[in-house]
Amino acid sequence: MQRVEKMGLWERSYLPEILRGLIVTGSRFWRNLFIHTLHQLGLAKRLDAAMTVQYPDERWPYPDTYRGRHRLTLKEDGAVQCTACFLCATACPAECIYIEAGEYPDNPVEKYPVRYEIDTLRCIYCGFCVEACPCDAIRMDTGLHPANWGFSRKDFVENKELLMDRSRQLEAKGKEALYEEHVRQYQHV
Amino acid sequence: MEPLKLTIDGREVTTVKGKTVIEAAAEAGIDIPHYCYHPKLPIAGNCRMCLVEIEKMPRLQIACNTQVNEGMAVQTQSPKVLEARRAVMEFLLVNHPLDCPICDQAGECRLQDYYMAHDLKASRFEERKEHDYKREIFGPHVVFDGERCINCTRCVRFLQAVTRTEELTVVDRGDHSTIALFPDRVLDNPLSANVVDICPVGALTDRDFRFKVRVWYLKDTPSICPGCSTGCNITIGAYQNRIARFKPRVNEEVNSHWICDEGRYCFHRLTEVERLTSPLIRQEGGLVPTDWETALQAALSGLSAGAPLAGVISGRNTNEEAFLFARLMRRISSEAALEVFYQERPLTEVEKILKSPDRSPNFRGAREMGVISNGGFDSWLGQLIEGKFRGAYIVGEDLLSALPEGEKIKSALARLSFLVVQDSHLTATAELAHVVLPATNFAEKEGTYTNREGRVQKLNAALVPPEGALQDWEIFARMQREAGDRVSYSTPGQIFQTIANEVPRYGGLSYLRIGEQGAQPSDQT
Ligand code: SF4
Ligand code: SF4
Ligand code: SF4
Ligand code: SF4
Ligand code: FES
Repeated sequence: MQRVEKMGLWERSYLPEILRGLIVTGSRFWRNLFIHTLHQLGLAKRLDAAMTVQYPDERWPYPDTYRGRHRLTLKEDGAVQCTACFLCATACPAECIYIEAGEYPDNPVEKYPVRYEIDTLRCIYCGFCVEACPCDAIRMDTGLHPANWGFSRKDFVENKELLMDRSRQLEAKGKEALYEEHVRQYQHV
Repeated sequence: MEPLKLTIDGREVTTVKGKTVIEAAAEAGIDIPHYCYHPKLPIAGNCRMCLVEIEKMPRLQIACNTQVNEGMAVQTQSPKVLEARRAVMEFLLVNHPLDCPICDQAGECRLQDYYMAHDLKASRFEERKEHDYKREIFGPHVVFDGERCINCTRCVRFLQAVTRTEELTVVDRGDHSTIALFPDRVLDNPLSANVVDICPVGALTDRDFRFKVRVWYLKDTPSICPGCSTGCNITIGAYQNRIARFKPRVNEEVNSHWICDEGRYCFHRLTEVERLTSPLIRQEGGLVPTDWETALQAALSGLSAGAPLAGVISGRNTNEEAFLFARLMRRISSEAALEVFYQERPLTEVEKILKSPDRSPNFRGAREMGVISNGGFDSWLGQLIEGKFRGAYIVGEDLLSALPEGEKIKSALARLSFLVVQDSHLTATAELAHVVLPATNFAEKEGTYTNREGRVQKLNAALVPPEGALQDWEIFARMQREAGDRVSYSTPGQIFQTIANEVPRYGGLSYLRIGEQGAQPSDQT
């Protein structure tokens, strides 16, 4: 790419352009400061200040197709829906799903995951696992952001109990409340 | 045998009288889809998957039970044939469950393969599917799923024709037709798990392998069963550096299509042990970790001062390892008494179909490499127990636990002035040693075995050895170097070249000639 770097005498004399730049940023800064102060005093609510979303106090609504943190869905009796077929793990491009299959002693039909773990540090939130699952056993419809802090790598590995519990939480509280709860931990950081 | 010519799919094929169309096609490299046909079993002709069109015959014929004729013109891909196969598939799938996600056969299932190749339509079946047993335990190794069975009777015919134990039969009719054990019988003959391999679908599955891993994750390595000196050809399926299963590999000269159950599951005993990851040396009564340099020096000087010297190597060590072992030991003491571990046990009639009475897959090879004494293993053991030796080097066998004379061996070993034990784990024998050297197991080695019949076959490494362990041949080579010899091997292949040059019976052999099917050198040379 060829950059246009030819400058006229005016630009090359340096100071005038610097001043012009300072005026642009300065006036934005003072305007925002002024309007934010008014907002704090409860005035001029209809004037918008800076266009930044004040996350986590404010946020944009996410589309329904947003791929958030995973959950393992449950059957009517509360058991895990997953049959440990490994199709999600096979489809996963990040190879971050670890499954160990087992057999119910009392149910001759089914196979189930004794262990089911997602290493969210490796996960790229592509959703292939959800597409691959023949049982609708894994979903990413929680609307939650991936965890972004922890004290060791282990903190980012989500196991079967946690993933199942997320389904129960979602059922009990609904998406909004779940999100609020999730975001609260960041508000105190 | 009268030769005759026919054409299959327009290609001219030469075969002999008496063959069936499916055999003639297979010889020419044309695979006719089939379920019930198996080259080693009597023909049943019940699945109808192998239908082909033959010129001048009004109706389609089954390729598995139609004999070839001079000038026959066979079509295996004509529209009529494809339509018939599609119909057969549809019938087979009428009552078939949608089990693929939980079925161990998925990924190597003929129903899946032929469905993808031929049918590919959604089910038109609207009635309720017939249900059947989902988990019928047939025996210690085999579990049956009645819904998945396509009644090809391969399992029944195997038990009639190969083992002649006849535990299974077909019961009931129509939709309800299924496979069942005869009353009061258990499918527990010594070759029972072969029915899992020949079942073309997931109806019979292996209890040991059940749900362990999906087959597409397996890393397959062609190798040789370490169970006995028959030397059955196998494929080792490994997952996450552990063995998940053995499958037989076809070799008409050795094991045909089968392996025995004992061999099939012996990897548990041989590989699932707590591995040694550093050499150990005896200090103040206890064994403490040390580095290789120190351990090898200590072993060498201890053995050098230990004449009369005894050496025993496991029958699971390769020819390459035995060759270097013999050289090393004779270098240390030209009088060293060397032997290969050997122990026989009685076999039943069914076991004799495949098994050899020993558990030393390479005893013949190791002897041919020079690990041999005058009287054989039993007399060697007798001398050891009598206290004829002062130093000993024991490789790969836990003499104490493997033999009935355990106690006597224990006191004999305790009386030795110096004992080196080389093994993959800390065995009872190793606990008595002055130096313990961590080595590899059969699945981590590359090399060759020579079976009871003298056939030389190749082992390949399926697993990566743990950090800290060395290959047996490497240990021998390093010790020889320590003793002042020039040894420049860097792969087992190079050792085998030396063997081919120096051991007359192996002249002219190479890894390339041995290939995947092994080679039988002539005994005369
Ligand atoms: S979202 Fe993608 S990367 Fe993450 S677990 Fe699923 S398939 Fe793997
Ligand atoms: S694809 Fe679905 S059923 Fe299969 S292992 Fe993954 S979550 Fe379980
Ligand atoms: S037998 Fe084959 S088609 Fe049937 S469930 Fe098993 S894998 Fe699927
Ligand atoms: S169990 Fe398998 S081998 Fe036996 S009849 Fe059924 S499909 Fe055939
Ligand atoms: S293979 Fe010929 S009928 Fe089954």
